[in-house]
Amino acid sequence: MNAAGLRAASLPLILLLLAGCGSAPKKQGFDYGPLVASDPRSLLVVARSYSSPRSPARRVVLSTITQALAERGYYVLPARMSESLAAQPGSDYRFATPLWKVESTRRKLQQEASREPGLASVEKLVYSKAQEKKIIEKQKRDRQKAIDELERLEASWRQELIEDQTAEIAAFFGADAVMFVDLLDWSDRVAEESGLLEYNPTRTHSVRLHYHLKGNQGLTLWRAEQGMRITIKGGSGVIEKIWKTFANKSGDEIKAQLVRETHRRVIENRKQEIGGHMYSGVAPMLVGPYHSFYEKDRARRRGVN
Amino acid sequence: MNQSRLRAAAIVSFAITAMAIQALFGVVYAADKRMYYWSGHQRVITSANNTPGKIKSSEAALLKLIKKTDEAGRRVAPGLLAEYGYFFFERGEFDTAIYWFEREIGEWPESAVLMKKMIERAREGLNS
Repeated sequence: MNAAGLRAASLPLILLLLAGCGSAPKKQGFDYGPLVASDPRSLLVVARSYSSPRSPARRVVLSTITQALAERGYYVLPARMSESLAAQPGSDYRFATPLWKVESTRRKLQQEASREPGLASVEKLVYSKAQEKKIIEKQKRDRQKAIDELERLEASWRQELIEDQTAEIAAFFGADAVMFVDLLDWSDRVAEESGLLEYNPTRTHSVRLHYHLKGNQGLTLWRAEQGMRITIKGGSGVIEKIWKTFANKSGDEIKAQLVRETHRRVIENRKQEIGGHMYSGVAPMLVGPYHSFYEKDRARRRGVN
Repeated sequence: MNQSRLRAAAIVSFAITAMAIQALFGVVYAADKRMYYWSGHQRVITSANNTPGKIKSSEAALLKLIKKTDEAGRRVAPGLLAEYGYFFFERGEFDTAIYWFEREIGEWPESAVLMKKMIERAREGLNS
């Protein structure tokens, strides 16, 4: 083989070697200290959706994250059973309670509680003095009722912020850590349309997932965020399905169903990415004790930090 | 002659590159290989609050998954034996539920805290 031939033959090998050098792990800024020290074996996954409580996408995320964490070597507590136990009457932990719903009720009560009793000048022309007095008394009672309800809601609202209860939740379920997964930024652009026929199926829909792993002492062990988007092309299947199911429903119900359906499609389409992100992002999640890379990964992180 | 040598060198280098890429992907593929069977898991999770028919079908899918895993001599994925037992618990078939909760503890000691609680509740159900 002459020199030119050797050069031609060695070039790809050199490129491969260079590529190998380029992909060497870089030092990350993320502090793995708490996660390494905590060394969780069992995890509880809590998936929450702020703006689309009935969305099947939340459950798809719950299933996907459960599988991804188990495949990466953790014991993951039974998701359906845990949610069901948390949702039972008398339970202190309501994982799937939509904070969105609580927030809208709170806003409504705040408005009612701040309303000054009294009639508008036009109304004063219609009602007699005696009627006006009765109406104002009723308004005062309603206002007080709203204030009382608001107080009760504020108390339970604090309960809803279950991240503050991580230690109690972890103790109840026997989990070493709790992985909170929030579905954020549901693009609600479909709802802007006035009805089914105006729905543009070629829109781009996006979803953001926020991961927060907290240890059984309430300490943050790991955080990450992931954005996903898809452009739905064609989409006649979605329209047909919703048309068949919701043909006799109101415009709002159709719109809500469209939003839920498109969100589900974003999640379903990007399902493979959800689990993968946890282990390929800027600061990947460490593997668990049942994974073959466990010792190696942990030792490497100890070295980095 | 030079031409044929060059061609041979190019073929050799292509073969080496292809083998290297295959080896690289092989490693990635091996790393990506799943430890557990999961088919039907999503159906189980989404079956909460569903119709009795859908719950029944997801229960059947889960049993199929457990049998397939047992036959393959592999370990059932974390939580699945407990999920299956919970279907019986919900129906008030506490004896069967206890069997599956105990199996979950046997496979996964990390589940002991929750499973013991569930077994206790199931025993309460049996005695009531």
